[in-house]
Amino acid sequence: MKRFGKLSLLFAVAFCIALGAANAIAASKYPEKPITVIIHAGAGGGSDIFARTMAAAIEKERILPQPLVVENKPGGSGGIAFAYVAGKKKDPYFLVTAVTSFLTTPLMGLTPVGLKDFTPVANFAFDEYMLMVNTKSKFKTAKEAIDFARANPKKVTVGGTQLGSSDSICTYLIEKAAGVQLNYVVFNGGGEVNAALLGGHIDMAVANPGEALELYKSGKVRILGVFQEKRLVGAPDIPTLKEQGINAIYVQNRGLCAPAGIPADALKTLEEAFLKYTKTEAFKKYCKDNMLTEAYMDSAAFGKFLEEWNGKYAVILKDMNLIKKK
Amino acid sequence: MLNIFDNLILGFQVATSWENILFCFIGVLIGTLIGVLPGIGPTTGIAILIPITFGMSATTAIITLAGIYYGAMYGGSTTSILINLPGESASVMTMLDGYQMAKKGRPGPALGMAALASFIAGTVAIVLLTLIAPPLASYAVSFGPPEYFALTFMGLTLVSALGGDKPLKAYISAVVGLMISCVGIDAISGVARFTMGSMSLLDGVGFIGMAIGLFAISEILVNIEEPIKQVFSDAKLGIRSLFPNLQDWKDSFGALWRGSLLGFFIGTLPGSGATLCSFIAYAVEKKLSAHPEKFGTGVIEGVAAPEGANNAAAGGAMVPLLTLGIPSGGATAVMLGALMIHGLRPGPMLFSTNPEFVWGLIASMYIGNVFLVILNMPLVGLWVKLLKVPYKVLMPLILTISATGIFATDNNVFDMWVMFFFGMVGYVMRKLDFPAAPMVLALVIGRLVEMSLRQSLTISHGDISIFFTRPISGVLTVVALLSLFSPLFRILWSRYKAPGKSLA
Amino acid sequence: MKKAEMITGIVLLVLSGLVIWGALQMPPSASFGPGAGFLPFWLGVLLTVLATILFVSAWKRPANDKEAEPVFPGKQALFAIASVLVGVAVYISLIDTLGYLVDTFLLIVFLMKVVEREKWPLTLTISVVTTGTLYVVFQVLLKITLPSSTFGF
Repeated sequence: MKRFGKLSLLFAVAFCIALGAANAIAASKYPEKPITVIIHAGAGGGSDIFARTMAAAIEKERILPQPLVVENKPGGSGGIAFAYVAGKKKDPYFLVTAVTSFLTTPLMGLTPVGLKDFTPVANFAFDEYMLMVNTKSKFKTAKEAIDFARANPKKVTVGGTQLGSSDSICTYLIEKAAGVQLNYVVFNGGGEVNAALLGGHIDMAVANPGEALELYKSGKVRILGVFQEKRLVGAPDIPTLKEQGINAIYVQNRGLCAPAGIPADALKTLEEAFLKYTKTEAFKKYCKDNMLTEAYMDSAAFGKFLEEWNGKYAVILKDMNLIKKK
Repeated sequence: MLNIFDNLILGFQVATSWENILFCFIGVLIGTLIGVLPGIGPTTGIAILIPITFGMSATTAIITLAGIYYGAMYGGSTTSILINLPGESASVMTMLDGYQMAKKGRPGPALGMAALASFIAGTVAIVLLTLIAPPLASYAVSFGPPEYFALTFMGLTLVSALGGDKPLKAYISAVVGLMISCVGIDAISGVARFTMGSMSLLDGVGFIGMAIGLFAISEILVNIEEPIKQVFSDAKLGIRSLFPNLQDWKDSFGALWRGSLLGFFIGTLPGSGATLCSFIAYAVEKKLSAHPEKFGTGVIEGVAAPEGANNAAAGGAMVPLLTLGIPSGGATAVMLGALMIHGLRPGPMLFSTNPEFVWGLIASMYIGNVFLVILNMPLVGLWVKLLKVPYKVLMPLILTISATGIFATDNNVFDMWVMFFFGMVGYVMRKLDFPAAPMVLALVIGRLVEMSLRQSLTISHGDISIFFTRPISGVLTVVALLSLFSPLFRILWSRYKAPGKSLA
Repeated sequence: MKKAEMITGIVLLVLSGLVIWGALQMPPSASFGPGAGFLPFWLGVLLTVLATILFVSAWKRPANDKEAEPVFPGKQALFAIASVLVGVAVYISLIDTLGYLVDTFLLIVFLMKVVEREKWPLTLTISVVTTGTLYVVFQVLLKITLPSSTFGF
C-alpha cells in the first residue's frame, strides 16, 4: 500500500510537469485555446451586445483559429471585471470590454486596479450622445432650453443614470459650457429614463442614439442636439450642440483591453484579428444598427486615447465632487 | 375589434409555421428548466441562450426567448413548493404557502395549482395584451417617481402582513432588510454605503442569494438537527390527490383573477418587476381573506395569487417593450438586446412596421402557454415522487444545486458566500421565531422606495406635497398611510369599544 | 426564549448603533432631498426603538417552563449543523483552486460520508452522478463557465 502511494505521487508529479510543459509550448502558437472576453456589465446591455456580436462574427468568419468565449462579470460599476482581468497578469487569454467606466471606476476609487494594469488592445467604435426632450416640450431648440435654464437655475430636470456615468458627465459638460445649473435626476437605467421622459416627469434626457432613435422617428421625442463636432452621418437633420453655441463634446469609446504585460506576438495577433473584424459586414451592420461611429484604433493609438481621456475625466470627476479627497 | 381579429389571424399564421412551433416548444422547455434551477432566473437564462438564436429569423428568435421568459416564471414554483428553494426571485412568495402545503402532504395540489394558475393568469395577460397593448403604453409611462414611491411605499406597509402573529418580529425583520437594501453604491450621490471595502458589495446584497440562504439553506440546517428523519410526513401520492380539488378551486377563484389583473397592470410599469407583483398580490389576498391568520400555514390561495401574478407580470412586461421599446426589467432588457443583435429595434412604430413580428409573438404566447400546461401537469406526479427520495440524499443535492445556480447568476463566487451567510442568519432567525419573508421583500422594495423618494424630492426641490397633489400618487399614498397606521386605529377602536382593556 | 430575545435585542441595538454611526459619516446631500445617509440613519433610529421594545418586553415577561426551554438544540445537533457549515465554507473557499468538478464531488462525499455516515457505494454513486449532471447542465448545456483549476477542469 505504501509503495502504491509513492508510485502514485511520482505519477502525479510527472503529470504536473507534463502539463506545465504543454502550457509552455502553447504560449508560442497563440491562440492555442479559446480566449475569454469578460464583459464588465450585465447581459443585454451595450457592452454585452458588442462582445457577443464580435464573438459570433469572429467564429463565423474564422478570423481566429480559436473561438472567443464571452462571459459576463457585472458588478461594482465594472470594477469586479476589471480587477478579475488585471489579476490574470500577462495572460493573453483574457480580454475585458472597456468603455467610459473603464476609466471612471478606477478614478472614483471603486476598484484597486487602474489603467497601468492593462494592455490596451483595440478600440472599435464610438457611442454618440444626444440631448432630447418630449415632443410636447416647450423647448424647440437647445438654445431655448439653455436660455430658460439660465433664467431659472436648477429648474430644468435632466434624467440619466448613476452619478459618474456618461449621462451625468454629458449633463455636467452642458452646465460647464453654457454656464447654467441643471437638476440631474438619477434613474436605474436608460429604459427608466426614457419612460420618465415620455411620461413628462422630467424635462430632458441624455441618451445614446441606440436608445433614442426609434422614439425620435416615431415623433415621441425631439432631439435638441448631439454632443459632437459634426452632425451624425446617420442623422444629418439633427443639429450639434456646438452649432447652437454650447461647446459640449463627448463620445464613449468601445474597446478591449488585456492584462498588462502580455506577450508581443499575442498582442499582434489580436490587433490583426480585430482589424480584420472591423472590415466585416457583421461589424458594419452592428455599427449601423446601433448608431455607432466606426473608430478602429490599434494598441498604441488606443493607449494614447485612454491616457488623454483619463486626464480629462480626472478633472471632470473632481469637479463633480466624485473623487474622494485622500 | 375586427382589426384585432385580423391581426391575431395574421399572428397565428406566423406562429404556426413548423419551425416557430418547434422553437416555441424548445423555448418553454428550456424556460421550465431554467425556472426549476435555483438562482439562475429568466434574465440570466435568456442572456446565456441568446447565441442559440443566431441563424434564426428575428421572429423565431424572439418567440424562443419569450418562451424561455414565461417558461421560467412557470418553472420557478416547483422547487419553491417542494424543497423551500426559490427557483427564481418572483417565486419567493409562492414558497410561503406552497412549501407548507407540501409538508402537510399536499404537494400535488400545490404544484397543480401553481401550474394551472400560471396558465390561467398567463392567458389572461395575453388576452389583455392582445386587446389593449397600444393604449396601455401611455398608462405605463404615466407612473413617474412620485407614483412609484407611493406604490412601493404601500408595498412596504404590506410587508407586516407577512408577519403572522408576531408583528414586532416582522417589523424588525423588515427594518433589517431595509438596512441591507442600503448596502452598495448609492447611485444618486455616488457614495459607497456599508460596503466595508468589498467590491462585490458595491452593487448591493444579491436578492436571490439572500433568499436561497434564508429559506433553503436554513431549512436544511433545521432538518439535519435530528439524524435522518423523513421531512415530508405522509405525502399522499395517489392520482386523485395530485390535483387541486373542487374546494381548492373555490378557495382560489378570487385570488386567481385578482392576482392576474394586479400582476398584469403592475407588471406593465417599467422597473417594478415580477417579485413586487407577486408580493402585492399575496398581501392583498391576505388582507381580503376571511381567515388571514391561516396564510403562511399552507392555504391554496397563497399559492394561486402570487403564482398567477408573476406569470401575468411576464405578459405585462411585454407592453412597454413592444409599444415603446422600453424594457421593464432585467429579462425584457436582455430580450431587447437580443432583438438588436437580430437587427430589429422595437419602438412605438413596431406594431405598424412589423405587424407579423408583433402578432406572431403574441400568438406564439397563446401556444406556448398551452405547451407549458401540457408539459407541466404530467410532471407534477414526477416531482411529487421526488419527495420520496430519502432526505439524506436530497440534502447534498439541494446544497450543490443551490450553490451552482447562485454562482451561475453573475459568475461570482461571492454570491455563494452571500448564500452561506444568510443560511446561518436564517437558521438563527427560525430558532428565534423571526419571519424571513419580510426581510427578503424589504430588500427588493427598499431600493425602489428610496430611489423613487429621492427622485421625487429632487424634482420637487424637496417639497413633499408632490406625493399628495398628483391623483395616482395621492390616492396610493393615503392608502399606504392608512395601512401603516391601521394597527394603531384598531387598538384605539377596541379601547373605545371596550374601555378598561389594556393596550397589550 | 426570554434570554434569547434579550440577547437578540442587545445585538440589534449594537447593529443599529453601527448603522447610525455609518450613516453620519456619509456626506450630506449635494442636491435637493435627502442624501445618502438619510434612510440608513432613520432606519437605525427605528431599529433602536424596536429592539428596545423587544428587549424590555422579553425582560418583563414572567419566567415559566416554556420560556426556559432551550432555543437551540443539543450538542449533537449543533455539531451536525456546524460540520455542514464548515463543509460548505471549505467548498466555497477551494472552488477556484480545485475547480468545480473535484470540489463539488468532495463536498457531496463529505456530506454523505462524514455528516450522514452513509455507505461508500451509495455515497460515491450519488457524488459522481450529481456532479456530472450539474456539470453537464450548467457548463455544457447552459454554457456557463464554472470555476476550473489550473489544470483546466
